[in-house]
Amino acid sequence: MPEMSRISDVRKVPGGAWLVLLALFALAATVTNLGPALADLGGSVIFGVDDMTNQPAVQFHFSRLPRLAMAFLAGGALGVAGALLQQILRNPLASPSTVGIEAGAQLALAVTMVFFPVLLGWSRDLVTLGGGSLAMLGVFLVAWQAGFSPLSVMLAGLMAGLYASACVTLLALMKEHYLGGLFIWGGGSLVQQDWRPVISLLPRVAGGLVLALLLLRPLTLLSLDEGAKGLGLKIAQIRAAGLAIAAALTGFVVSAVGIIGFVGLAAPAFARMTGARTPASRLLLSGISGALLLTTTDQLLQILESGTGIFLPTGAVTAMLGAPLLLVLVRRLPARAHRASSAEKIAPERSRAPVWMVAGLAGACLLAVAAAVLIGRGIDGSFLLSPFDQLEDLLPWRLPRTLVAGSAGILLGLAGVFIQRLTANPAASPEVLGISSGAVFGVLAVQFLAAGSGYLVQVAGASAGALAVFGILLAMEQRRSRSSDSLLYSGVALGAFLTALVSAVIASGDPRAMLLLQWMTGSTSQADWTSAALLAAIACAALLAAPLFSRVLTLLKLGDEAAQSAGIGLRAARLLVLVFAAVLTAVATLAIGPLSFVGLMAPHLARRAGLLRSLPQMAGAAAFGGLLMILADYLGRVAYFPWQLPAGTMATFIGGPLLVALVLLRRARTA
Amino acid sequence: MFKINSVSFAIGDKTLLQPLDLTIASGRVTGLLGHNGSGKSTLLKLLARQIAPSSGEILLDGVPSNKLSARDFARKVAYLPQQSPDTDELTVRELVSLGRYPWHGALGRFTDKDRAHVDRALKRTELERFENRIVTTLSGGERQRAMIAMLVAQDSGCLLLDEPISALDISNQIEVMELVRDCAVEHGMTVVVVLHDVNVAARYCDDIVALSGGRLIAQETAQSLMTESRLEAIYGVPMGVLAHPKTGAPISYVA
Repeated sequence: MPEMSRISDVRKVPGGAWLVLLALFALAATVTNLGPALADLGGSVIFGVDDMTNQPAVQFHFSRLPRLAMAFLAGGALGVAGALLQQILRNPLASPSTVGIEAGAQLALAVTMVFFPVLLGWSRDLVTLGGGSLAMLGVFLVAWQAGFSPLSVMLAGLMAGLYASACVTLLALMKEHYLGGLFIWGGGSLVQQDWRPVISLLPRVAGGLVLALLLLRPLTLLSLDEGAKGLGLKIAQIRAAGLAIAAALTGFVVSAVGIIGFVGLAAPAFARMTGARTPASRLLLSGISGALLLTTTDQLLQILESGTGIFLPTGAVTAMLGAPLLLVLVRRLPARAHRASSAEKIAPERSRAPVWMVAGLAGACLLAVAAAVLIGRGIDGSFLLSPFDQLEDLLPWRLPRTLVAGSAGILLGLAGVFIQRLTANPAASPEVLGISSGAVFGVLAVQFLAAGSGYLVQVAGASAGALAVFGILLAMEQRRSRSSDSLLYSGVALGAFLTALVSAVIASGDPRAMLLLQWMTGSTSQADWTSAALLAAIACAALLAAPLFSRVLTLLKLGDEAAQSAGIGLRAARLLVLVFAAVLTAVATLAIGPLSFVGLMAPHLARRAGLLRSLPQMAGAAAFGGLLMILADYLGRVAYFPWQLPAGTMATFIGGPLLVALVLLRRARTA
Repeated sequence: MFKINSVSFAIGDKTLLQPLDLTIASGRVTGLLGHNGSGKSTLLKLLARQIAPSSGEILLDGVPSNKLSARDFARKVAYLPQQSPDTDELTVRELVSLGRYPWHGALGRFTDKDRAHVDRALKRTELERFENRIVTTLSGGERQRAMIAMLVAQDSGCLLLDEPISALDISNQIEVMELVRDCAVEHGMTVVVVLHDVNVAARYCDDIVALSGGRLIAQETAQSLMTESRLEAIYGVPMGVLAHPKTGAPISYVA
């Protein structure tokens, strides 16, 4: 069979043509952008400027050239970091953006910028490196619980991104004067004023690359999974070293130019497309691809800017381009048989009296409502129990918002149970399906099409956006109803795309986009009796309807095959569950904004309380969701008194660490 | 080769392997038998140092095996996990070359000696004509042979194989087991192999170690094991033994 073996032999000439094409494209974009100026100024401008009053020459040498170098360098570093992560985690979806390094670095930098500015003067790099590594560890801990599958790592990573941006938003609201800078920087701008950042970044990136190359052989061995240990490899140490290098490379880039989303994902994917087979070639070609990809994007954006005057931060644009890529990559993952994750294997002890447990939780909710209404802060900031005769005046200020928050929490808790059971994935949540991002996008569109419109128009826009995303999801689901996971994939990618789009618009500094921020943070301070009654009614209806799904959800969690053989019409059942969950999510999002982890956390809390079967879990998750949101709303009201912090963002702020703590506690107990 | 002194293994309060004393002889093929969950894979992983015993110690050629450095241990013992790795797009030769890692390390030069070992491993596993094929494009039997070739290139005196043939059809099973047998008989290696099929074990192994519920229930030569009473003790179902019509070797069946 000489022909057969020739076909499957290693391709001697890999798809290198793609790389050449990309290089030519990058060159063309660069020549188009910089060529005319260079022709005017003469070649000597590359090496220096004699006449400092010659403004175009100064601009060329001290801004446009270093920007080109910066794009090349940052792209290359991110490409190498992405390839490293993918080899170590054995996961084609890993990248600095999807394992949380970038998000952590961003958050760390923002926090130090506001609270410990002196640290930045000392070492910006260490701040980003520390933040990035911490976030990555958190992501791994969470993903570990979900079996460390490629998808669970990505979900946890994107959640870390959400968390970081929620915290940054909170900071921005508390310290307004930093607001603009934080957002532009968060969007990843490559604009340069001199050569210093490039010159300081260069040796760092080079050092990281050399270290990565020294690790090549052990890294190759990681391809053997378990077998690598049998060859005498200290797997844990090698992994730690590789991850540290990846985190460092990313941290350096983030500290120099901010977040350049998804280049670290796109570059290794491109390298594989060009036929890079071995880890060595993947590492190098990813670096080159990353450099070329970012350079091309950045040069094209400059051409766009000079032509139309539209300024877009490069990082936000790469994130926008990267999200669809994520969708493609995710769909190429080999379909895996349903496997119980380690979280499910070590199930918490089942509660012996679920009814009492749920009743207790419901009681706690009522108690929380009472406390939120009765306890406030006085003029001097001290906590005081409001006397009953003042209640008539206070009630309209305190009760509606508490009701809105609580109802939204109930809805999200329910939706979370539905989605986690539907996808049999403990890392899934309503936020992940992209429906909340759809709502944000709808509001954004309204702001631009009908600026200055009222609250109702905004609500309509948000609903339309949520429904549009939902429709797209359904259309995809109709076409390929192979597995529940495909739904999750599409949702994640869509959500990432819309989020990137929104942050690009916000980073552009448009005042209309700034209005959006207020709603995105999930403020309940504008709630009145009407909205409270409406939401409470919807929550009650949802609570009554949810038990109807209980049996279907129990079976769906056993996996598609089992559910089908039990006689469930898969397609119809999934559609129904999805519609229900999406409606709940959309309503809750309108009330408390898109950024909350309640839908992810509440089902987990219910499980931890021993409510394992679907009906008790629903009830428990609803109660926990309500409780969390009431608490978040109350804290938002009193914590930064006399100012108010939005409930949605507060929920995220409290919820993120709580989630990680939950995971850690379980680890400690089973270890 | 291995001397196991009252070794046990437990996760939390769940004991997977009761305290166990066992000696595994050099230059012989030892089969580990037992039903699912009997602890045979656990025992193999303990030997391979993939996991550490909860109590007791394992001597490798008289030295406590946990005293050896990772690389020294890998020069003496090679391990094939039950789960075949996803080798990405490595070629057969590249995969087999990875077996030389314990000798050249992370930064050492890949010498002619390393190359010679790889060539020899490819030859002995009859994979020479596949050396430039991508591993994932090979058939199941060829892929398993490539994995074993990597272990051969590792040039250790001992092979630990965890169910190397459970996913293969009969002709591939024979092919792989012949290769394993050959390693011991022709090249003096010690082989410990986890098997499911008692007939395969009887045919290719010198010694059998049988486990049940984490306890050692038999250690003897393959021939003496092939009796109805011994087999019933291992598998818990009535078993019969008859003679192979051509060779006369004992064959077991479920009575």
